[in-house]
Amino acid sequence: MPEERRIALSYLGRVEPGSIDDYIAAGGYAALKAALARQPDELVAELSASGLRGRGGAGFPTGRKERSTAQACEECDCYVVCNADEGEPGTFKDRVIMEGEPHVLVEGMIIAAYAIGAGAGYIYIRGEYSRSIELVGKAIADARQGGFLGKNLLGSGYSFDIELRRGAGSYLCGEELTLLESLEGKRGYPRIKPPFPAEVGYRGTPTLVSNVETFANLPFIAERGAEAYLALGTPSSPGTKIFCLSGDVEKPGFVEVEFGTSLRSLVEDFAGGVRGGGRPLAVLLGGAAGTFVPGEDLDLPMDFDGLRKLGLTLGSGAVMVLGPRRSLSAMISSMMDFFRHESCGKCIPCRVGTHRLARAAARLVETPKAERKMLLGSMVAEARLMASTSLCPLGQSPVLPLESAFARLQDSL
Amino acid sequence: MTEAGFVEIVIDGRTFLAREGELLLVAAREAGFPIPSLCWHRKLSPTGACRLCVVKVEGSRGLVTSCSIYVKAGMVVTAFDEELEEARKFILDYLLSEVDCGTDGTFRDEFAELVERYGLAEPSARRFPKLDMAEAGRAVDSSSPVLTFDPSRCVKCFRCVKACAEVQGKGVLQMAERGLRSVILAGTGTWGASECDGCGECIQLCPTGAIVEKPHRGEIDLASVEAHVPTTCPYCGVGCQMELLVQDGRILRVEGIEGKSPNDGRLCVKGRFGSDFVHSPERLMKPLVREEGRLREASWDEALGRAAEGFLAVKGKYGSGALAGYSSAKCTNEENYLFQKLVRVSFGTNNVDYCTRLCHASTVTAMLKAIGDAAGSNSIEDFETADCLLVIGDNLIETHPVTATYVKRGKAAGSRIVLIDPKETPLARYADIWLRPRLGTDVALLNGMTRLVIQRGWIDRDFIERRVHGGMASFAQLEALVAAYTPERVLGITGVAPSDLVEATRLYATAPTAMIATGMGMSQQTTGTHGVFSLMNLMLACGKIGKQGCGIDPPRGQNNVQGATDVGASPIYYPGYIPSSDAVNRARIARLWGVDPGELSGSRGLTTIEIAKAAHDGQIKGMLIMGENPLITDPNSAHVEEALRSLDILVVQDIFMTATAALADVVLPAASFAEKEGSFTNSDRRVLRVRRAVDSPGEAREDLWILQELAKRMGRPIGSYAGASEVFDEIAQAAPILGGLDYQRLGGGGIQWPCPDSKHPGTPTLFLDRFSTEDGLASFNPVDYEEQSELADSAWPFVLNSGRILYQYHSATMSRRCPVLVEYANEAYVLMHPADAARLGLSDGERVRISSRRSSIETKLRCSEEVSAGELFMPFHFEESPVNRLTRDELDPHSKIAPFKYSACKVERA
Repeated sequence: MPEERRIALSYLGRVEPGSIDDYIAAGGYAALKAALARQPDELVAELSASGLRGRGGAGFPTGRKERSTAQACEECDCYVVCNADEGEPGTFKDRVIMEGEPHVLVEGMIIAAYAIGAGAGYIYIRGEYSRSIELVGKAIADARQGGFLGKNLLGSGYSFDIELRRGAGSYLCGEELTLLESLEGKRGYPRIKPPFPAEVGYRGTPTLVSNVETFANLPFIAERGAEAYLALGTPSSPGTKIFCLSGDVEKPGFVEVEFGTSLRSLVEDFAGGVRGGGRPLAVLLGGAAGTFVPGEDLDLPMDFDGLRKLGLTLGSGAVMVLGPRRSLSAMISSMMDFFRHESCGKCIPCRVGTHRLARAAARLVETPKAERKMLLGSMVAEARLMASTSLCPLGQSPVLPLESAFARLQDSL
Repeated sequence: MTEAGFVEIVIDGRTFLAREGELLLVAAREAGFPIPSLCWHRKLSPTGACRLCVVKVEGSRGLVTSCSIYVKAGMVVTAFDEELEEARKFILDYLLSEVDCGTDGTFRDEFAELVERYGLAEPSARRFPKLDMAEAGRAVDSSSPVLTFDPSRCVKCFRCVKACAEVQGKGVLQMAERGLRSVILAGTGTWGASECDGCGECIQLCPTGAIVEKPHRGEIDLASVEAHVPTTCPYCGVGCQMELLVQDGRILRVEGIEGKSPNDGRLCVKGRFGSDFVHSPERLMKPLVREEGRLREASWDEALGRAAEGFLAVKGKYGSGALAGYSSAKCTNEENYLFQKLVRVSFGTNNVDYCTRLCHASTVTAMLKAIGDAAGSNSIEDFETADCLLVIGDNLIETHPVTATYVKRGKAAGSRIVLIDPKETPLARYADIWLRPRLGTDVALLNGMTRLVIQRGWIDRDFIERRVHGGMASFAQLEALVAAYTPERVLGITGVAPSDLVEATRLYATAPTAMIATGMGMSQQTTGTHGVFSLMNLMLACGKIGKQGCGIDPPRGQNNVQGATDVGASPIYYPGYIPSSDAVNRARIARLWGVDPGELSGSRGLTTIEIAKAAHDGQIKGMLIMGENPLITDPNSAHVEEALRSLDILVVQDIFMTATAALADVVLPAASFAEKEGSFTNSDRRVLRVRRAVDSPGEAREDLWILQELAKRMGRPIGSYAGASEVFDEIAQAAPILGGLDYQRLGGGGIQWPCPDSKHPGTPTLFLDRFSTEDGLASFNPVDYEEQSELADSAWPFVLNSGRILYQYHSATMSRRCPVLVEYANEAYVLMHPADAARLGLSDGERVRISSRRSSIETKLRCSEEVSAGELFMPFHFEESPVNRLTRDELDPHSKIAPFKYSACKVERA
């Protein structure tokens, strides 16, 4: 059985989440001091060398984002924004960090901000996460009090502060450009991409937008270096990942392991296997914008590129197990309802398509078994057109679960 | 080698040059690739909602919208292939399942055009069945006076939302709900209950039948529209370019002309919905002459004969000096030119003036003295691009709504606005700081600001040395005078807090570029000229003129206030601002006009209110009035009425039976703006064409014809012109500032004077090299604050201010005959602070009597904090509550303007 390896969660359980003294006593903010002792461009190089990839779902190399933001804003204000609007179904890892060790997030953000030269940062936090809001708010205040935030922090000559902003319950606001719109006080509609936030972000200036878990990895890299980080995980996905284990399992929860750990190990070793025993019907990876893996194919190494090659997604790290008695059609129907509910309606393909797919998925449940395959096939075809023409990731998502179900789970319909 | 800024790109295998940085969609369409789109519009930021403009770009993953990427050198693009056309067809097909399309002939439906193009017109060709939209279904909203909104035809392209927010700066529209339930929402509910002010920008930009113009919808059929006539708006001085849609000889719709300055397609509610007066049954259709005290119909021959005889009799009995004329800011340059020519040649006097004397005369007087030119120094576009805008005494949003769109767009892009106004105007909520001085205290306020500029070191010493007469020595006099205006003293006089004074001064003085807009609030005072002098002192001390993006514009209230004086409708100036006393010029003009130089008077003529006073005193005996209504618009109108009644002969040319025309001996029915050729000159000196769209009703004739005939019958003809174009050619010879213009050049769009020769491109910004004074330098004119001569006291405890509202215009002869404008506002009122009303035991909506030392009128009370306690405000449009019965005709000694903004009054229950 593989070992848990905690990087992002290294302080979890070791510190009282509301206590900065605890955090400091456990070694917290030492990474920040190490970072401040170096030149920002050196730090950017270190972070790039670590191969760290974004933990929000897309897996984009964080260092590359930082480098382009830093380059784009040489002569202007730029911002660091933390995407804490954790809304992907089956995903709760950011909450674990924010409620268990909020200072890791704050420290990680300060390191990133220093590296790219940002003067201000925002944490856009899911509005329903009341405990997270409370604890992260306190962590920011305590960090400011302790001199880790604010003017001339830790006497470094560098100034940076963080403001907490609450989301209002829209899934789409977890998409980085929509999040920035919302952060600016506008309605949560997606922006056209490109330009990317690294060029034109918050208030039109270069902005680094990263996920909570991503920031939580930065103290480790800043303190121990890229080499130490690269020693973990796989060559294309270095480090560790927090997986959220849910669904029909014996022990739902979370676990941080090195990339490359097998899905079987996550399901059987860490989640205790299927509740009530037996083989899962399927496992949904990455939440609603994710992909289905058949229950018999669990020997997959969990890393970004390995899964992508198989047409699968690692996404946010959600691992949702469907027990043998579950209805795949009902599951698909509920996912399509979710997309219909969350579609903002800005672009035609997603506005009409999510609605039509939800209607079709409802029929999928009622249709005689023999015809389901054909119906699912036509849904996939429509979802593909939708994906190619939609404005933002939401309209590009329904095709993922549909295609994977059609390709691998036709017989389980 | 390629032209600068152009790069090679490849679309569908064809290599061509495109402007670098241009939107790919625009470049592709210009090159003949008809990429479809519904949500993109040239005036709006890219939206990316309809997805129809998707293309493939080498090096980019998947399909990208061409409305959101920009031309780069070497770009290789696929605009049309099977996959892309399939994707577009799929999107249209999808949209068809949600939204209806097709036009009833009253609007253009771009969606239906694309449906046709992609072979989806037949329902059998469509793949997707109609969605059941019952749950999202919303009823048609007809609550607006100007439009109907049909959600079942809305493609959710966001063009209306952005038209309202980005183009007009209003932000009334938004999208409500989400997903398939998304719906356009005005305010928080229906259009009629929202803050929508009816400009119709959303109508103009809607690509389908979702938002359609309501007036005349039962009559208009776009296929039957016989002409689209480009012309210039007849209301305020912005000079909006618009197109009249004519069907069966009637104007049924007005649209803004996209891409043309000064408005780039934008209009306000008056421009778009204010043309119905043209076809009013109340139009004057026959000449009228007075017989036994009553006006009766007459032939043109008889009426013109009576008019000529009357003038000749006065001239014979009392001399030329007993004749006078009011020309018109509503009429064309050509008409004003012939009018002043008639007064100077046929009447033989310089007694010609018009309503400019009542609006910007003091501004003009002060600007001429200080910088040598009285026209706006900058273009309307500078209101958007300047870093700071100082607006003083100008209700810009209501009186110059399209100028205000530039201001609001600038604000959205980060410009700062300093507002100075005793009354809360709609601009207050856009202002970074709003100073609210007591009425009539501008000089003290502005002197206080100048003192701060000096004290804080914000003066532009280099500018003063190089461009102001007397340099720092002259400045020392200003410094000495303003030294007494300490913040404490300014607070005592104006009520403005020192900290606000500092902030307002800082914003203006330290902005890299700054503009001033000054309006009637400044000018219509007995100290109007001094007010503008103190404003100009501040501006010159800061060096905020004479360079790009800096200057002063007094937005003109009427369509051709600027042009009328440009072409010589002035007691002081011949065409082109050449003083009537200039004998050399008079001789030149006499040659041009073919008259003996000795016949042209060199003495200064009487101004508007001087003429009325002289008539009252029996010194003026005959008057010709063209398109003005002084009985309503001039101060102390009871006095004006007595004056007009005492004349031997009063001849009025107008399109309606105005209160003034009703007193005339001869009334001549004239053509409206839509029935003649000509030109107007707008607030930023742009000479703009006016074009004939419809025939005049009945026997109404153009003023040009009337003036020529009248002069002929007086035995002193003023020429015979084949048309307005020939008159303009003569203007170009008479006025050097217009020397390079003719109708051929003006056909392509407005040109800003000075334009001395046919190669000259026109002048967007004045004074870049020199001021128009004799030595080319500006001057400081230090002035002290003086108290108003009529102050509020225990008997007359209120100070009454007057002005305009958005929906009505001037004496409302035009605007009150337009049903839409009447639906928005058709009632006179007085604004009073709620605390004052409570003290007097008056309540909102009650009838009240307002009295001044001159007279007394009744109107409705509206309690509002838009006015300060102790101050009142009344619009002057409504003849049933004629506010000018209360105003004073005591004049500013320098400019002869009257204090419309300051009358001591009392209020009681009617």
